[in-house]
Amino acid sequence: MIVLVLNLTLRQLLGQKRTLLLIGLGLVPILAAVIFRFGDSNISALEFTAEFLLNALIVNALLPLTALLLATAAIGSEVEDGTIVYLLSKPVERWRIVAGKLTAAWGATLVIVLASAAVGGVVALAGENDWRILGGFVIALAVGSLAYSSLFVLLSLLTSRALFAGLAYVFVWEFVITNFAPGVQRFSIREFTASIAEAIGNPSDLVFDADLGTTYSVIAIVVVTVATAGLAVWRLSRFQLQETV
Amino acid sequence: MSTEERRVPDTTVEVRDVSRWYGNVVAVNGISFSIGPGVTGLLGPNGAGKTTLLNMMAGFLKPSAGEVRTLGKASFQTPGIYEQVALVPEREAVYEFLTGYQFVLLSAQMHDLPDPETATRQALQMVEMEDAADRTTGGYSKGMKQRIKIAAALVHGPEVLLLDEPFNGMDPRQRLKMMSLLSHMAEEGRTILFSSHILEEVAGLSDNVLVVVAGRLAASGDYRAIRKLMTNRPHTFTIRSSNNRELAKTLLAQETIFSIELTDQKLLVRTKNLAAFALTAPLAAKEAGASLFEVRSEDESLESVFEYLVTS
Repeated sequence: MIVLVLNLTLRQLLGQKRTLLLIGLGLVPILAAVIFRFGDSNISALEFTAEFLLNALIVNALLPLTALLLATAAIGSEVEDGTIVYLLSKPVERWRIVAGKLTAAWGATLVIVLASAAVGGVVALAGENDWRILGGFVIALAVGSLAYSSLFVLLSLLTSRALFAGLAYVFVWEFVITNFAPGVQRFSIREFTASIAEAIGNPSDLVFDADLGTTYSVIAIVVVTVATAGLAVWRLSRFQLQETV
Repeated sequence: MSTEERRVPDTTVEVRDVSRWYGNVVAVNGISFSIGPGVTGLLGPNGAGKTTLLNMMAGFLKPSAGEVRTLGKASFQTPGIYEQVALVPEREAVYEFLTGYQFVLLSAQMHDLPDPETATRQALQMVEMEDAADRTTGGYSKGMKQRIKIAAALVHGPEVLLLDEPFNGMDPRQRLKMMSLLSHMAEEGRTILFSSHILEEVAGLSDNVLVVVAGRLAASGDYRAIRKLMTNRPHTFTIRSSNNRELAKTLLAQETIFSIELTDQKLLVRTKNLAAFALTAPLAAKEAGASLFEVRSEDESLESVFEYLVTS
């Protein structure tokens, strides 16, 4: 059943304009890497790759935006147009439906984000000896995209304005508030992802320095993923068709 | 599966003191009824609460008060009921990137049927959609979408089939075909409940109706029996006889006659007492020396019953 829902959702996502938009956005980091490679820059390739390409462009922007758009398309659009009834009117445990939807949203996010990070990283680091930072970010992006997808699938089941709620989380909470209130970083998937990337990539502090501890980040990202996925199952099992009278 | 092979309970859907409100708006107000195998029409004007009721029966809405049980189980939060229950929603949306065949096959596979391909082909055949099965549903007309939704709903042979305005968009031939299909399923002992605001559809498929007006159950049962119970409404008959004028005079002397209109060819007679009229009309004709050619009820139709219920 999970595979059926997964296949259905992937076909849904492939046919959407927002997927094409995201593929286009995924080219931006690659373009930036090409410009860096052939341009005249004062910073090192390692620093550019870690701080600007992978952290600023991909972890801060491409990752949450891709996960948000794909997760809301994976289930939110079905809730909105009512086609979710065709899945829910079957004798199938609701966790299987959530698992299929989440896997599809995560998988599609992974393809775009990892392709962008890998190609951009290879272009930017060409000729360098130390590739650990790229490996660290690739693993962190895989984990971070699952956490984001799980959160946004839940949001899609909680509100018909999941896209706005998700944008508020990404750009207001994670981008603005964490800069003014450092304690809030402890509740940010972006910060968990960056910390895991740093722990695995092990770059010099001069190249890239995350703000949270590794152990805390790993535990936090697992808790967020499991809790939001569990809440999504709970929510879907109590799903009610929206009606206006 | 034949009727003999299945054990069909007398009551398959039970609605007990059910209300549903959205904020301050009451959509369904204290409704109780039960239905069993056969076809039942859920009739009411737009906004009467039909879709809300159907969605509660299908487990897609939680009653604000009361209880809805389908095949003996609480409808809400019980995915297991969908082994025997199917819903055809009113909304037109389908997975537009799937072909008709893939859409029905998905349903069969999600029901974990042993041979989903064969079940899919049979369901497509039942709604006469084999020829269009390889086209994507996005290109279907409204009527075709309705038929493919019905095929997906009945692919697993449900005991209870709930349909929300199922004939929307169908042409007259498709409509008749669908009515015949639903009648046949009801004869097999299945419970078919369909909503409609179009009286001809309900009258053409079912004598048994649930009439919902403004969130309340205005009447339930055979609509002709309902009409007979509406004693505060005079029954209207058209009479054609060999001597309409004399017959009108004789009938007017009867206490049970409310009014008579005499036209060139016929009499329009209104009576408060149907049973008494049935006895006295032939006697009156005899007394007037008139031969009765035709005595026809003008308001035993579902349309009249519905109009009386909605306007009362």
